[in-house]
Amino acid sequence: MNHVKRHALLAGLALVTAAGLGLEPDDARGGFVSSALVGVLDTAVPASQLTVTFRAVDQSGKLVWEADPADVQAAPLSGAKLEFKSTVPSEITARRDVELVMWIYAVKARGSVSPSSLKLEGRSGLATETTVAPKELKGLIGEVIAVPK
Amino acid sequence: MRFSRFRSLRLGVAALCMVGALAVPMTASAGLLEQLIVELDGAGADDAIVTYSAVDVGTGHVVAEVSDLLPKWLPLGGLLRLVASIPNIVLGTNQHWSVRVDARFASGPVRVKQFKLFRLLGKDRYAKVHSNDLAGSCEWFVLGDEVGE
Repeated sequence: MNHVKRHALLAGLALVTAAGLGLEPDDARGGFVSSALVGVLDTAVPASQLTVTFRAVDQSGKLVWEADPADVQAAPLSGAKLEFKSTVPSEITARRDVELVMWIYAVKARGSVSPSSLKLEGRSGLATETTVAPKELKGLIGEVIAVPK
Repeated sequence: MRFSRFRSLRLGVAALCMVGALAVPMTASAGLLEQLIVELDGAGADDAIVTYSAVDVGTGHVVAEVSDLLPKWLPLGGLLRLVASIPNIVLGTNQHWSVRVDARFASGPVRVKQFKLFRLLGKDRYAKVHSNDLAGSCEWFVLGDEVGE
């Protein structure tokens, strides 16, 4: 077996394995590994006054996935901003029939709270970013929805 | 003769008590003791996607979801009433029933007239709602929260 034949055989084997695993070109953009959902709020209130979680819902509004509360990390950013982050499993980010949601419970917030952005970060970088119009959420519950592309 | 009549009366009363005693748990298991009711107003009310869920506001975890809603147009005032029977779930301290009104794709205005918990044996509870047009947005209303209620 010459060099070319061996390489062609290996490439064919790789293609067959990929097809068997159900891999698609899209997975190379970070779909095969867990991605991170990152939501930013414009607020000066401490994270303890807010409850933020991430979910995925289908078109009927039914819950498909929700973040483990222990996995949601909050970190203050410069310029009165709060960042919330959580990992999302690949089965969810690979789906095109669900919407990713950042749920904000600001009923007990004692200061102004407004959503700023929500982005999905894959292994190879930014996958989806949703910039939202500012909205006062103090005393309310709000959502930021990212539609997968 | 007189004694037997008295005895049948006693049996009748006992049977009536038994039926009464069984009726309460049967009604509860049928979900008729407590119902969540939301009333929507406006030309786009029919397009709104409504879901009820019990949420732990401390963690954001969805404790329960109710998707079997019974829509009914009320002849007076053109209100759309969506009723859902609550399953037998005992909610914890930070857990409250909520409604998600997704009116992002509504063809006309959508307003929430009321969101309440109907109780067959007790006082109804009402959530704090506003009369803003929800068309183009997705909003949550919560019951049983000292600020939201």
